[in-house]
Amino acid sequence: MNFVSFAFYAVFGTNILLHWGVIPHSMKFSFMSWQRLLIITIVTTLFSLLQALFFRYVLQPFGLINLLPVFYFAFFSLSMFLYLIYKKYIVKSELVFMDFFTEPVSVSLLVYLGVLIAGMQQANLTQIMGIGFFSVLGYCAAAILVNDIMERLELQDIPYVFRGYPILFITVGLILLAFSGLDKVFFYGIFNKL
Amino acid sequence: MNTQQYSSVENKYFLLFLGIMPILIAAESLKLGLIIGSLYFFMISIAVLTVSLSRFFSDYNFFFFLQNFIYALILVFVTTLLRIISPFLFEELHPVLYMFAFTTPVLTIFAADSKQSDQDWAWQKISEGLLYMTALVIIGFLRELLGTGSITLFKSQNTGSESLLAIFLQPSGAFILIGILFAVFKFVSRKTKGGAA
Repeated sequence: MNFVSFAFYAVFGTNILLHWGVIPHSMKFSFMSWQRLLIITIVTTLFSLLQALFFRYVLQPFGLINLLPVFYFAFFSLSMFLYLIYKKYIVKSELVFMDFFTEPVSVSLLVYLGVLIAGMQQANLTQIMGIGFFSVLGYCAAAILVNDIMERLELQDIPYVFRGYPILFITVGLILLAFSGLDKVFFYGIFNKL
Repeated sequence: MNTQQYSSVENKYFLLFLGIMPILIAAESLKLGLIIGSLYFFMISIAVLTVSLSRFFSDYNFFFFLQNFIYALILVFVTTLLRIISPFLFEELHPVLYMFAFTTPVLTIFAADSKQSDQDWAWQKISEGLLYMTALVIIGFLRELLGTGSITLFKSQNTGSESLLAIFLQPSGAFILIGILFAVFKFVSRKTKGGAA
């Protein structure tokens, strides 16, 4: 599998939106500057590697797979802790910690889901790191796509009952349909034949 | 239509709905809807119970982490128990069960509302949890009915060959179905209000 094929698969086939249905809460997506996006992808990549190592060399050999939720909790807590440090000492901004949809928790969940997606794959360590990296990028791409579509729909004359959340869900559903279609195209090898 | 409405934290119930989307997507049949719904109700009851204890902690951030750790331990207990009782069912369900690790922070925030010492508050939260459990079961039922054209609750396994509208068994179908259900509720509530006026 060449790099482009792998990136294609990781962005569309292991997309967080596709697997977990997590709709981006911030439609403007303003919190995701390039600097933060880079940090999140690097942290997700490293955590994916850490998870794979821990799973293969500790949990599986000792028959402790049932402890996975505790391990996931540790990842969530660690990523949130790192993000809090980043916000406090690098960005030096005020935090409203206990709001779920403020940055620390939502970004930590993004890292956590990226790690989870990577952990589900049967792949070697390099590929798992790649999946962690591209799954975050894929999610950001999907979020920007949803944002753009919703902005364009503002100008359209949509029936009253479909305005707001119904059209948001249907839009995300159609995007997911396209994503899973692209994934299947790749899966059946058509991509390689082109 | 204003896009700002989607990022408004005032609509807490809708945001909770978004938070439980992973398990809504997993509920692709009536059987899964019942199992996931029951577990969800169990977890939200535990969340309400633990949040009511938060008044004993001065540092709420510490309590938040402690509570999520307790959730993780409960999840370990549930999965271990299921693995002992029915290994086959565990193999079928374990990816779904691990999804609850994702929902725990969401449930914590949902349960961490004001009036934590109020008994009425606890009952209100539990009844809301029951409502979401019912939603999970209904969505599982509808997806299986639309996807396969039948309900296979009492069969040991789905043959996989039956399909009516297979899209509804996919995550994309779940979103579209939920969007349509939202529109139907909006239509019905509008008609009801119009009738009442």
